[in-house]
Amino acid sequence: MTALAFDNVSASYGGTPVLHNVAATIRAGAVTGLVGPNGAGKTTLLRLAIRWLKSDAGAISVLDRPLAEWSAQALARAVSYLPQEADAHWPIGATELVALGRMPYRRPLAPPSREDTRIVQEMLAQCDAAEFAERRMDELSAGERARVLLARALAVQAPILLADEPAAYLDPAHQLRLMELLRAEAVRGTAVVVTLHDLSLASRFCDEVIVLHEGAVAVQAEPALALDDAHLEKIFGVRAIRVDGIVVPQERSAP
Amino acid sequence: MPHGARETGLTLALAGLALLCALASFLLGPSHLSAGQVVSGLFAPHGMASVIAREIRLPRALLGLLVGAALGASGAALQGLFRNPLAEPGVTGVASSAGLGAVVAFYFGLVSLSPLFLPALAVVGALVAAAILFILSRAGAGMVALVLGGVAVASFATALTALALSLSPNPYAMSDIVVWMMGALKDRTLGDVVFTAPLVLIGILLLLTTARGLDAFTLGEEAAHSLGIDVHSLRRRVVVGVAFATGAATAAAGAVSFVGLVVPHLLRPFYGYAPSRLILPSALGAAALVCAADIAVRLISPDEKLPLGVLTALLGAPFFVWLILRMRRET
Repeated sequence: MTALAFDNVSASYGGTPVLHNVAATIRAGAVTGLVGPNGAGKTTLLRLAIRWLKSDAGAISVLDRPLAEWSAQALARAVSYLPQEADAHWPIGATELVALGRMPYRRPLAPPSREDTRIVQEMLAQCDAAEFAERRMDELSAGERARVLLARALAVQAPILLADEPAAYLDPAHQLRLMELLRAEAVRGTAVVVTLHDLSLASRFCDEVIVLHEGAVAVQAEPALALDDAHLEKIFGVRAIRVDGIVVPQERSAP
Repeated sequence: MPHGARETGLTLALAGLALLCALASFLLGPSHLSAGQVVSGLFAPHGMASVIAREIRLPRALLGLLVGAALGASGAALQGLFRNPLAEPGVTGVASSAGLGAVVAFYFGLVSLSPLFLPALAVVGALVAAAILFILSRAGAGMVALVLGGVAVASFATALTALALSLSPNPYAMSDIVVWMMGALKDRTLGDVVFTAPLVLIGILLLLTTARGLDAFTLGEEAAHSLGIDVHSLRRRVVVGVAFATGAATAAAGAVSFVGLVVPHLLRPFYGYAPSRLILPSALGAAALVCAADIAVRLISPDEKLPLGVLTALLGAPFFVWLILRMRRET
């Protein structure tokens, strides 16, 4: 089932074109990796899907319904977004932070429901964060914070999860754990979109990879095809070796 | 939920403290009237006690509550909006600009046409400053840029105020402005209360509507938007709410700085860092603090040579520096 579809979408930032005629589809129950060099338009594509930015042309549909038809609250329940360099601006408690993910369901002035509390606890446990649930965000390590922030995004219980560079700034062990959590979420049926700079992670954990290059989709395919030698060389300017199908970038290829 | 019950209890205690401080402010003063005489003066048709109770003490105590509540709620909401514990009506230049608005009302004699011009122009001044900060924050200016922007706004407003003083043709008007600018609650009337109360209450109510959205701002504006928060409406409500509350408070009491900075900070150990939990308690705590500071001013110098605004600045400025040093250590 198609969870999210971009049909010839173009977008710009302050008059500068960023995306040109992007066509891509995101499947439910799969991890879709969004890769591409800096400035390729990965974050812009995610921002379009949450209506943080408006597209200049083309059509976007969420769960087979045009994006424009969604109310703010319904969209907030359908698409969960974990922004790049996500962090807590106040040192609130981990549980309190995860509970923010229930905001699209809360009525004004009403306290959190039992259901809200249950989901918050469940997501903390799912992200291996239950043991520090009572600690404040400033008392956690970067890896622990990343898991709490992911639990917050999962607490929305949205059928679509967009994660912008969630693995950046994490050590390898935490990167792998985070990607495993995203995979587990896809197994539960969620359409997971994750932007990545690390092509090894993309080739290892993604069911499908969309390669963005200069604001356009260069290829959308399974990792082995999307990240083949020709694409790596042309788009990223690298060669790679492959270990069990995992792409390991090597030296920069000659221009 | 025991956590919630503890907070409710604390908030009720703060409300009680604010009322107690206001009562003390009402009962204490340089005249030799007993507490009983002041209270009965409130209901007496005429006489010395009646004048003191109704025309001097009552407006002073009520304005203490209103001004404090306005500054406390504004400080907590601004800190939530900018995700910056240094944001506050004084530091961000909102209070100075409200002051400039009020000085314009004095300077052009508008106050003699209608006393309403004083709070109205103060609110306009506050609105302009808050709007400038809002634009700075939208441009992605960081924490330091925002505080420096506030310094620039405050300096500009202070410079124009100084110019108005320097050009003032009438030495009495000048002295009026200077005394008012130092921040005080003395010599206020019930009329001042009548003009201040609705504006402050509207401002605080508007700020309270932003509470939950400001919590979502903890995750950044994009994430808040993705949670269904109307980010633009939230920013507008904070800016207008702060402008109403701080504008009216400044029109009534002049510059009473640092209250909005200190109170949310003092309350965080009890309420945590979520902005939604701090707006109402900060309003109540600051109401208590301003009433208490106003009593202190009378006790320290019975002839009232120590203005309220000077006392809060003398205590608040070192606190501000300490807060910056502590933040630097933490990052």
